[in-house]
Amino acid sequence: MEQIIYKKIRKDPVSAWSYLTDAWQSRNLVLIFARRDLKVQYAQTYLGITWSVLQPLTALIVFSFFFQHVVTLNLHVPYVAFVFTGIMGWFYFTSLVGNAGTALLNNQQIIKKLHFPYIVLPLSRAVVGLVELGISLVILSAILLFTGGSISFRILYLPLVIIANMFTGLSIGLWLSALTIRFRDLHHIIPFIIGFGIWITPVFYPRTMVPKAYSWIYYFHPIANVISLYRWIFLELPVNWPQVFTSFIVVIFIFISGLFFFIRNEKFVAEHL
Amino acid sequence: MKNLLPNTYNLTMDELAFEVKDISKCFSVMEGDSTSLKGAVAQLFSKKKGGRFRVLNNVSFSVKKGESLGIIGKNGAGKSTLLKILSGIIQPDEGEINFYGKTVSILEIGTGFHPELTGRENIYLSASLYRFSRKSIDERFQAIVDFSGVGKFIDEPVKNYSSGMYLRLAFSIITLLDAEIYLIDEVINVGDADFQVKCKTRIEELIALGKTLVIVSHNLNEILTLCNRVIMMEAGEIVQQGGGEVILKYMTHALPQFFSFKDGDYFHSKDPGNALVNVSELSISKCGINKYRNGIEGLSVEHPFTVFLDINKLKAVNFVLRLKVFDSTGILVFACSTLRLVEKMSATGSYRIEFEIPANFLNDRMYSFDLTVFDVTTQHLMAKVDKILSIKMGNERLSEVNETMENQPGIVRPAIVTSIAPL
Repeated sequence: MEQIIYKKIRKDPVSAWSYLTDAWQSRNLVLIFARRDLKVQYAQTYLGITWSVLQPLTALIVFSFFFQHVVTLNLHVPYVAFVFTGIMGWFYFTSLVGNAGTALLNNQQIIKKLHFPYIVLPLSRAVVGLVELGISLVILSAILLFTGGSISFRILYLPLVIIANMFTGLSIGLWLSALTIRFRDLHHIIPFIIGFGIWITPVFYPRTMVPKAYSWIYYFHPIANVISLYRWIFLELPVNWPQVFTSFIVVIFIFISGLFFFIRNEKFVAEHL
Repeated sequence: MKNLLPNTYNLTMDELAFEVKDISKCFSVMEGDSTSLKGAVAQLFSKKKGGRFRVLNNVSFSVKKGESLGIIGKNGAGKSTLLKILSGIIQPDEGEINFYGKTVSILEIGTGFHPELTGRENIYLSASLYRFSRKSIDERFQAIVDFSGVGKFIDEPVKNYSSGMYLRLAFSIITLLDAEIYLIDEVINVGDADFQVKCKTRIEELIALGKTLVIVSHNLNEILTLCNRVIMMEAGEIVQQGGGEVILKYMTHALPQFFSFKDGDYFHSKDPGNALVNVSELSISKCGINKYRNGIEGLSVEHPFTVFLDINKLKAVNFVLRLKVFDSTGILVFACSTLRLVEKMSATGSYRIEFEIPANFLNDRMYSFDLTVFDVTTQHLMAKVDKILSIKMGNERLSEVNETMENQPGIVRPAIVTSIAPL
């Protein structure tokens, strides 16, 4: 009698499609893990959720003091609002690079004991970061209110920019999360990305200050364009659209290749941990 | 309580639950630090190539529906790797596995539990990891809470739970899992005796329901009582398959110094030429022996039995024979010796020594015996044979009325309560 095979295990490479269908069926795990991380992150500190308010606020105060009293920049918009839009996008990006990048490493206890589409782990960090971004948006609204900014129809594009911000962080986070399993010391690269990245990203300075000879870099610099888009929405600053499109193609390329790299390496994760 | 005698459930012997075909797995053992980028770069330029360590080598077996299979073997034999491959956590290098039913693997109790989260949150987290939908957890939530007995602490962080509460909550999630094939690793051996009984009862329920089980355990006693088939692994290969007799073979196989008493061998003394004594036969009185579920003949806890040790004394040296009895976890239960009767054995010649084990004394588990020989005057250890004998005690009443009450914890079960009379 021929029996129906319910599940088959063999070495065959998993097709990306079947992996993604499986991941889609486990999508509730993204929120489950995000909730756990949020709870754990804030349960361990007395300051609670204020911690995620303090971080961008501190950066805001430091940058504002420095660039209004030590070095003065020539801007047509209030510097506080200008720098905070940069901080907001940059923080979401770096939190994704750092936390999505180490998501597998930090959940090895579970990975060793149970099989599920592990991609939900880095993805859940995108949701965790979204909460912090939301808090930053509240602070930004307060800043805009006090500096006399106005909100235009462009706010309707905000969800798209947030998604772009998310994918920029996730694309690198996916690569790092799969790579850190194989090469444990790779997570040392994360402080480098964060520490040096901020200097080549117009977070606290306007991109108009960058000499023309170097401005080609923005064709391949997604997070710089995400920040420009935030400023386009909230401060009505101009955006270089060709740069937005080319840099987003870069993001899509890194993301999709990261996805395939992740899927290809996922089956070795438990063994390398 | 369900009656768990083997003849009360029907095994559908013709249908397979799953089959494992030629599974092999290698782990790479690299020289130096292979898990760092630095190490990997260094390796690129070094001539030393890392070796491949074969953990599983062409492992094939099949399990029929309703069977419960125990996997035994020493540490590093590949049992856990095999179970991880079956669970889909690790990929095999070669071979394939076909499952003909839904599987669930329980490699740990409380997978995904986080100490900072409350009991409620952990239930949702852990059950979601086992692919329960939110709705189905909602439906089962009250049952989990009731079963765990956690009560009002359900909204407290589990870090404040006692370890017993923690285990009960974690276990109650597992009891909800529903599949046809269960892959279980060493989970029975955590927690206190009550908890272990609970786990065992649950596993017996699964067996009674006709589920297929694979159990990896170091506790041979558990495997002997729960499984109807055993696979013994050694160095990544299956070396023995069969019923409970495989375990008994394993008990002796695992011991290089096994004394083959049937051959009338000499003791391994420091000076073999100066042989003192040899054992011609070791046997057990046949009274009270009965057959158990897995087809093994065993001794009954309610009947006394005698261990006969027939020896040839070759030298006129006064010595004492001592028998030490251990349970399957290695705890010394008791020791007995010929010290009081040593003068009866002063001359050379053949002797029979009887060790009488009383009724209602040893519990329903496995015991092994060590034999040692001491010089009476110098008190020096003259010879030692580990695991000269292994026995499995059984309890006939287990299958009768009240299963859990009969199943007594403890390494001995003396009949302390002797009488109840109206005053």
